[in-house]
Amino acid sequence: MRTNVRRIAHRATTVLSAASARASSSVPSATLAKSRSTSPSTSSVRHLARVSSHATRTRSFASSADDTHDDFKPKVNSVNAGDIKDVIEGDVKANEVLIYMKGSPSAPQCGFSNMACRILDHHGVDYASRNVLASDELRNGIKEFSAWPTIPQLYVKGEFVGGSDIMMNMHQSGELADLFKDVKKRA
Amino acid sequence: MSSVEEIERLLTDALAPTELDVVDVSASCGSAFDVSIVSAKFTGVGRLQRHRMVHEALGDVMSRVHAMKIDAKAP
Repeated sequence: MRTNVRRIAHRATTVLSAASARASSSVPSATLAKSRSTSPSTSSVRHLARVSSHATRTRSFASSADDTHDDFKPKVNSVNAGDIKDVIEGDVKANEVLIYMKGSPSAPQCGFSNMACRILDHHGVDYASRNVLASDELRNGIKEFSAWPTIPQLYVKGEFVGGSDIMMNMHQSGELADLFKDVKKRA
Repeated sequence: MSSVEEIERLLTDALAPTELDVVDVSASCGSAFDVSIVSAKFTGVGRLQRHRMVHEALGDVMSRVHAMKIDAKAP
């Protein structure tokens, strides 16, 4: 099953990069976000392919996460609870700055997630994001993994930093700037 | 449903705060609270750990609320 995921994910990568390039210019992301949320049960399993460690190697695939139409997302079978922990572990190791949030940086679906993204944008860091609303397994999995009950959750260099309050505190105190000093910035 | 009183009681019992302010801000997107707490138990404890202590004190409440903003300081 994993091989199929890899193949589908790889094929989807090229389709996605093209699709997101088209999508970003012609379709408002708000519309895409709306259509996505109507079928949580089916889109949840598709999202799991995105979070697989193979998919994250190609950053454009991972970060275009929620700006693409359902048709372009890889279709996979359900992954069991044990796997999601591995997926998350691989994900936080593979991405220097990773935020688990509701929605996506361009279309956040919660005020706290929005605030977290805007803080990251302010610091100009190159970050990846995962939409917990797209998958119940991920949503529950990340809360268990971090032993933290709320979203968003920020990971920097594989370590859990905190939620949006902590990010805001650290941002105001200058601690966040320090933390991001040697982190890769966006071009 | 969680209430301001319940949250105040749980935090007072567990953390013996010198200052505590719990505000129900549930108008936004579901059950939500702003908690401001000062407790000697936070002395020398890092931010992340302070938040975890508050989560622990609240126990079951955390799974019932949609959002919780925490400001936890040492005196």
